[in-house]
Amino acid sequence: MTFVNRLRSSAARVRLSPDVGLLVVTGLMILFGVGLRAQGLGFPPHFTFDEHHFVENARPYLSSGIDRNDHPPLGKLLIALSMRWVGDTPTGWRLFPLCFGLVNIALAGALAGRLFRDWRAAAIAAAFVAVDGFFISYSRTALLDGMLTSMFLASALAIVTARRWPDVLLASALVGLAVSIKFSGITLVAALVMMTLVLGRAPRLAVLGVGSAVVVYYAQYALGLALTGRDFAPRAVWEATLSLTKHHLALTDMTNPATSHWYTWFTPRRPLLLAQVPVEGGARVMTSLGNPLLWWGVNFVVLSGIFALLESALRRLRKLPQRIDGFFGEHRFALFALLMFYLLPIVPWIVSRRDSYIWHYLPAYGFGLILVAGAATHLYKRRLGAGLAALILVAEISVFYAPVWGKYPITHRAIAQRLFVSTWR
Amino acid sequence: MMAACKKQLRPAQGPSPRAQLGMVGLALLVAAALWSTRGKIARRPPLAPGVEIEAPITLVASDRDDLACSIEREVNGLHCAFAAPERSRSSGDRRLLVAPYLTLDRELYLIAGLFEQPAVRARAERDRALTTNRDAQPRFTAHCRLELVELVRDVRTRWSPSGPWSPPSEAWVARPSNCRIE
Repeated sequence: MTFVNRLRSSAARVRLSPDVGLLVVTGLMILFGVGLRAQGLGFPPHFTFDEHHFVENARPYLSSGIDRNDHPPLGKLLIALSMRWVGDTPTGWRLFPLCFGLVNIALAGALAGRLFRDWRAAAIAAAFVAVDGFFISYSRTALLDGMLTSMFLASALAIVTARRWPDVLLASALVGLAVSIKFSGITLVAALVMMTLVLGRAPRLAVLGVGSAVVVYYAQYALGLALTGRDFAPRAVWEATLSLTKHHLALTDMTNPATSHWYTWFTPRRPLLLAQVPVEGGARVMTSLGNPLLWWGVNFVVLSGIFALLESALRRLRKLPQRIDGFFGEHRFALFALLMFYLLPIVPWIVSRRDSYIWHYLPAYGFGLILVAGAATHLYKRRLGAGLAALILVAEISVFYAPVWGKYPITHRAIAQRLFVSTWR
Repeated sequence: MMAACKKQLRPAQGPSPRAQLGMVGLALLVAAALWSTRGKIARRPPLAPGVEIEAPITLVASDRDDLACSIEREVNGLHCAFAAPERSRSSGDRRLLVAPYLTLDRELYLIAGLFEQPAVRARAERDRALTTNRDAQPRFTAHCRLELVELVRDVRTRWSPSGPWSPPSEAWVARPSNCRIE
């Protein structure tokens, strides 16, 4: 038997996993998303979009100036840390958002695996976050929202897995980190209360562990004040927090051209061009538009899930047996938890008149993607071919949009093909 | 979770593993075709001394006298109008005088004698003849070829004679050529 024949016969004996297609597709999607995030991070060599707000207010932490930004210090402290390591360069500004953007892929996978108890759901959720433009663009810009989303995902993972006091303390500390980046992280306290006090998934008294969030919040704020040579006593932190809160509550005029009402985020009417650099014959752009199929998938699954939960509540009221079949019937806790985490980051913009922007939707969208991943897994387990084809379709759409997420040189005509709605450009 | 994973349904029906790999292969071909739909664009070379780039520079006629920079030393015979803020340097040949300009995408370049370029000078003279009021002068774009000379890290810029000096920052010093107006 020749060597070639022996090789052929060995290859014929190799038993491929029945999930080989899923493994390869999700693996390639994750690799593609990681590569797209990391390439050309230093371009453009100047600030884009709102980067100046955060980089210029990160600099004082390295030179004893004053942070005049209207968010708590943690996000800017992290940017300052990477600027200290890498230098005050575009790569230095964007390094931590990139790290958190990569962590988001892993966190989404971990949360999906935990909630749907299936490694395939974990792989699909990680792949969806990896190839979605909303997540990619916020991993490549020195802005706070990608980092805030990491804290939301990490807190959610800690909250749904919390069973004992130390777990609740850890979850609370993560909530504290979320609030330390942007105040909207405070909505996670409601999830903590729901899981411990209302559902009793951990000792009910453990809800008092929320105090660790306060300690974490104080610690980072005090550090920020101390680094800029200011009083960092608890009273000073309280006064600074109060002042920021008043400032935010007064921002209600919606005159900034980038503002968008929360109900427009689902369409989406106004994604943002986070970077736009003209080049000969075209441009290098980065839009915050997500993968359109995933975006609409999130809308569809969230709406269907809300109806399923309402129906379930109605059946409980009428003492009728619960449906136990179908995606929502099989994963009622996952559905409840993900819908709760999806809605919480949106609530502040529904109940207040505070100026809102599409980036406020990023944490919610992450939970929506995990729910879509659960639904895709359900489809895949029942109709493998259709499930795999759906994943491939998502991947192909991302490849098509990748140039306008990764700031690749692209012709004006090709930009118009991708951002075909006038308010997207 | 592992125990739960073991109990999961195996895919009972659907394409065989080899057919799945076939689907992936086909998908990769489609992906390559989709990627190529972005069109062909010449990539700018990495910035380095001696490299030439095309830059669209946004200007108004009064920029000739309003813009200034400060660097202590000369850069290959080129110099700013100030050695330090409020310490002006006597300038002879305007072709050697460097000033700060922004491209359409807000990149800062320190360009020597931009307003000595024939097309830019002609356009500026025409606009100044219409009005000397800066706010009334029309903005135009000069597409120039820039030869990069050196990246300076301690330049300060000023956008009007009475304006404040910026903190020190970095920018490329460049020599212009072949400017055309749009």
